[in-house]
Amino acid sequence: MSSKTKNADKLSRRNFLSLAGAGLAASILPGTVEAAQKNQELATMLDIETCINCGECVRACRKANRNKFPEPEKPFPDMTPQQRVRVEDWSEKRNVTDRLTPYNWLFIQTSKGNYNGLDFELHIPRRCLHCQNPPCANLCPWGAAVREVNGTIRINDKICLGGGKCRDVCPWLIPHRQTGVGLYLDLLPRFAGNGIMYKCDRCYQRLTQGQLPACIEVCPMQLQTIGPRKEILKQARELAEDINGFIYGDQENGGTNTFYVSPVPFDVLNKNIVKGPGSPHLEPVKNSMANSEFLTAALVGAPIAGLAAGLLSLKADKQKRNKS
Amino acid sequence: MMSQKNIISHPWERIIFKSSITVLILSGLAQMPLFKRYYIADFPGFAWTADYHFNHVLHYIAAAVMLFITAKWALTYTKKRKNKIRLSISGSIRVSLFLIIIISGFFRAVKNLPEFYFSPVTTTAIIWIHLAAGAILGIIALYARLAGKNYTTSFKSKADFPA
Repeated sequence: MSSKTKNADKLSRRNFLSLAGAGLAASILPGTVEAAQKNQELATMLDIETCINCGECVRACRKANRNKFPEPEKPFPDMTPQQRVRVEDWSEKRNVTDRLTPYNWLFIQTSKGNYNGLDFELHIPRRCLHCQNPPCANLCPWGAAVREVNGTIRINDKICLGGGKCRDVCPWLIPHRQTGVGLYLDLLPRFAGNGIMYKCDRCYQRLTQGQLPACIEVCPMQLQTIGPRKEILKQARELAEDINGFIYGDQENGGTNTFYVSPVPFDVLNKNIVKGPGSPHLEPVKNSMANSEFLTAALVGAPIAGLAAGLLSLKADKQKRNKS
Repeated sequence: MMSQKNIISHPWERIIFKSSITVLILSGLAQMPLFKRYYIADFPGFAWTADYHFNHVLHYIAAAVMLFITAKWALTYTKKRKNKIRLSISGSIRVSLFLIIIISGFFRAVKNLPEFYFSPVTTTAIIWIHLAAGAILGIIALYARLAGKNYTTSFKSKADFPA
């Protein structure tokens, strides 16, 4: 088969999948809601080849979540030590849409380059990937970052102190801080905390009302599909196989609930994107919480071993007393 | 009344226990973003205090050591109670708080496993109970130390003392 025919076949099947996707969009909502109601883990698949960089998802995200955006009190309280604790104020830069900020939880990253002798330009909607074993939620010392039953990772803005540990332990440095808001202002604003951390919460309020996340609903290309994780992962694998493509997010950090499917390898995409603050990478990520299972087993085994040691010690004492 | 000689624990156990508690307090505090903020991590040899993943692992390891010793002591105490060894009021309060820390800490560890799920409210409650019990125990333990309060009350006979 010539490569042209092969591509035509691929395109044909792709078109079929797109049409199926459009049909699916109509039917996916009840399925998603049902999955959410059944407390099933939800995942999204992003077929990035179909993204046309129209920005509809970014605008929809901002509109759907604007009531959650911070309204900081100014002037900000002095924080100690000033050289080490920086004010992070995005309230005067609310219109920034080319990176993640507390006012922009989704942005479109563009990767432009050459792969296998062909030029490519792909657009990748970037936001929190909602890890299955999220270090941000596991390591939050204050219980503000939590994992919900449907796999959404949320930061509770009522109690977040803005220490920023969630960003430090996130492999993609996703959460972003706004100074001058939140509980820390009522505690010890000079000595602890620095605002609230913000990131995508998968439009949890819309999901509970039986609606799709805004970015998914508004996309004219039906780029994203949401549903039970097993089904979405199966679809992502089928699509990747179909386009001879690659998946990002299924294995990263031990598995996330976001699967990017691309015809270009992600290491190639990663080389051709702007990376930096608010603009995450696409590198392979090892499971940062991988040792939790082993360590928890140690926590269970240690007291059992202690009891055994205690029994042996008591037995030895008894024998010693009997001898004497 | 006999002298308050400790027949529950051996000196080497107490050294290990105290060391594990010290590590638990340090690695527990290091879970908060304070050591870097207040330049402690800048001191030579203290960079690890700002490494969250390292301190996470260290906290688990120290907890395992502490649990080993605690379980051994708990068993010994249960057996020796027959000989009228009892916890003092101060000791009972400290042991109760200690149990709360252990139980809430265990649930924190379980929460970190992807196979287990706790609701957001439960998760936050577990974390706050762990933190609060730790802080209260710290204050009470300090008071007990300064006031010379013992954990146990009295012993029945000399025969119970270890050789």
